[in-house]
Amino acid sequence: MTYEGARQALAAPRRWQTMEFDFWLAILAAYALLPERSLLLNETAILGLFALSLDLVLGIAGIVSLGHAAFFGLGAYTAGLIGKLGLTEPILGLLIAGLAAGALGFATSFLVLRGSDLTRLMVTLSVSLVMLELANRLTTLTGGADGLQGIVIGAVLGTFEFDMFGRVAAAYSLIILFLLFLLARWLVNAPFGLAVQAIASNPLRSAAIGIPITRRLIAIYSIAAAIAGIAGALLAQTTQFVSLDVLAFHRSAEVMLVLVIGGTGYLYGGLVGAVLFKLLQDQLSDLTPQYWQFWLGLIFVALVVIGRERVFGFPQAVWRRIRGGV
Amino acid sequence: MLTILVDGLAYGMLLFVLACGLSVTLGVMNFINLAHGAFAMAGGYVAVVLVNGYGVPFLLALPLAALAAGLLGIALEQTLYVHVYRRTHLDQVLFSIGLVFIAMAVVDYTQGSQQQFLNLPAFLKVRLDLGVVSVGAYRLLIIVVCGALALALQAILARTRFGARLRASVDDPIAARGLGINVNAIFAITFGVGSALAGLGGALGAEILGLDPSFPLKFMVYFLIVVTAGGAAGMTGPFLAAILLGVADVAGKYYFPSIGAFIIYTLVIALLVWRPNGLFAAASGR
Amino acid sequence: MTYALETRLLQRRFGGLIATSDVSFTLPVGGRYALIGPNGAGKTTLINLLTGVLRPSSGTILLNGVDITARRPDHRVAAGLVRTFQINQLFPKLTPLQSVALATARRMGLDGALRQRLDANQAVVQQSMEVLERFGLMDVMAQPVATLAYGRQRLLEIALAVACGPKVLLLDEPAAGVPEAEREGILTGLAALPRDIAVLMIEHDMDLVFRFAEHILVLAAGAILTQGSPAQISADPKVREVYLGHS
Repeated sequence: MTYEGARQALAAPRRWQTMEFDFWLAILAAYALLPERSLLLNETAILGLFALSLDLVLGIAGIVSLGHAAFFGLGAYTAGLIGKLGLTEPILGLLIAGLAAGALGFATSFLVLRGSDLTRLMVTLSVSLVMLELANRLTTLTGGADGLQGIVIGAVLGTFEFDMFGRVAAAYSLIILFLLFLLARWLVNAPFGLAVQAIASNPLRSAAIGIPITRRLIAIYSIAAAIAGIAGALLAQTTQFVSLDVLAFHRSAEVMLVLVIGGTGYLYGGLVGAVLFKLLQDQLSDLTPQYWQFWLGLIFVALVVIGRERVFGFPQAVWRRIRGGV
Repeated sequence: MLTILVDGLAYGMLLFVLACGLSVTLGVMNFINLAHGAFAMAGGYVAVVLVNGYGVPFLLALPLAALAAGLLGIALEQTLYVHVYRRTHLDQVLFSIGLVFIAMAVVDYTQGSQQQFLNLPAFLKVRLDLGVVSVGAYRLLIIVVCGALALALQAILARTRFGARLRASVDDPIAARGLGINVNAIFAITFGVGSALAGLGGALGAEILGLDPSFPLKFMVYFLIVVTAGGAAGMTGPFLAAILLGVADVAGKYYFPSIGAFIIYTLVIALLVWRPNGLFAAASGR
Repeated sequence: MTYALETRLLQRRFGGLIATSDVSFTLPVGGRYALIGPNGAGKTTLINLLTGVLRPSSGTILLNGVDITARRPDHRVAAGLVRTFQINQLFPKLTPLQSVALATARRMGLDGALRQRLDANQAVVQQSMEVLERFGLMDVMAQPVATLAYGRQRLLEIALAVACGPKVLLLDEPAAGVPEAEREGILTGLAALPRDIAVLMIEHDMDLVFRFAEHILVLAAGAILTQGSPAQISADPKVREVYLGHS
């Protein structure tokens, strides 16, 4: 192969594929053609963003986390609180919430880097439980079990007032999702992203070729935490309510399922998973609203026992063929 | 002060009986089983139904609860778990969380979401004066039963042929297989026994642990702490870890009621950072 | 005289056990050395000491005359001390080109870059291709590493280390697991190593050692038993005794 061949082979992963355009066009179409489902679309976008952030941690960096809700929840409470305190500009709120969650991610990344999958699980889980306990106890700040109420959020860019049908909310969340997706895609395809994927694939060799593993993982974990925080902030702003639920264990577990349904490590997994998950939830909740958890558990178990590769192997093979075929 | 120590001791020993099965699962198969608490919950509910519903004597309900949880454990091990042993840790986590969710929903559906209270027999409600400290008969029973179980487990591990094979399988599963030890069978039996012990612990401790459908989630962290802090080798590490955790938790909740829960999680984080391989793990290989 | 690699009285104890005992040797620039020794002689401990995974109990390690005894493993790599592994340690999901380009980028300090793109960097692409070409991996450079034949993976194992721009290369049993018929390929790859790289090869295969090395160090019970040219070593009765006594 020639120099040009090698250059193109290296550039291939970051080239936009037709399917990617189709995906985003389909989302645009959903927004335009299904105005009555705007609220659902908003929830899906937020869940997708949350799952995208987990993909950076789990799919790209290979860190199994059971407490990703800590960042989502911190972002939600931060955005809610500053909205309540009078700083109602939504974009600014997102930034502050992202910074807060990113800072927590940075602080806890040092704990997560050490040890095996099991210790990582326990540390991430413990961090999220501490956050939940904090939110539960600091009732003057968070409203405790009653939730944070009285959040005021201004118009987006001073022009677009949030409406009760969720039209503005859905557009707002989708645009933020798209922008942060671009950021994630850019990060992953940069040399930095390649280094992080190498670390996930083989930490021993990564160290042996001189990659500073700790620094790279701290960076990706903090960035992912910030994105999760922004997802939480979107939820707080568009629903103007925050409850302890944002920090609950089942939220960390659910986002894991969302990502796994869509497939890990190629960034679209979280988004595809969010769409499938919300559709499924819509159907199953109608069936037996209070026992949604049962179906959730059943999906988890079936997925693993049958084999994730077998269930999702087909769509992913199609995707790879399209991606790699150029 | 002494009362807290005794309460903590009872709580810690209970945690040991609940969690010791998990340490074998983790040690032998390197399997992260987050659903271990579901077996304890099963034992607890079996005891509640038997005692409260059918008037079975409490002391008879205990072995029945253990039996039920053990059978459930073996059944699930043979049908589901065997497919998942060789999977990635992510798969194991997803799978066992799924089991937890199913267990919680099933219990919620059949028994309701409220906390269950076991009708303890009258002789367990008295307090015994032991000179320096007065102890509830119920807690004394817990200490005696769990202490006896711990000793029995230690003896089985140290003295019997089965124990030797189990220890070999924990130390080096590959080498053990090479020596002709049927690691799978050993594991199935230990899984059953571990589940039975969890079930017994769930039944025995129903009153102090608080039994409701969220039980497996609530105690997931505690079990994991016992196992990781204690290390997977042998029973002594997990036992000491469980006692420490029990005393720390009871004391924390008594002296600092507003921040009691933080103490435990903060301890966990600090511990895992300090000794990622367990508190009592031998400093081998370094 | 400055050597590419030099150790002085390197010692490592584990409790009461001495795993490495007063090991002193010099590896000249561009040297082709081999380290042999029976199982349990302390070869792995020595590699871990050299790469910085383990700290010596006493003694010094010099790289091009600079004391690196206290340096972190990644700093040693940056300073030019790079190793390969006895069991392939590759990136199964990446392609050989991506793997080598990443190592090259790391050497240039670009592995944390965000705005740079590797394909837009002429030096990275050019030098990655040179390394791949040297080891005959051009035809498979865009396939996932996991799909490569074992012999090719073994070569990539070395290529990846060469891409780091080493001054000293530690080869840990480069022919491990390679079937007899494919050994020539490994030898060709070793012959293709740039002459300015000093190589210390740890190997069991005596045939490979005698064909590759100009100087052989024999390690036994943690200490250097003897050293010399291949002819001297093969005639040395002490070496025979150590090997025959253990096999």
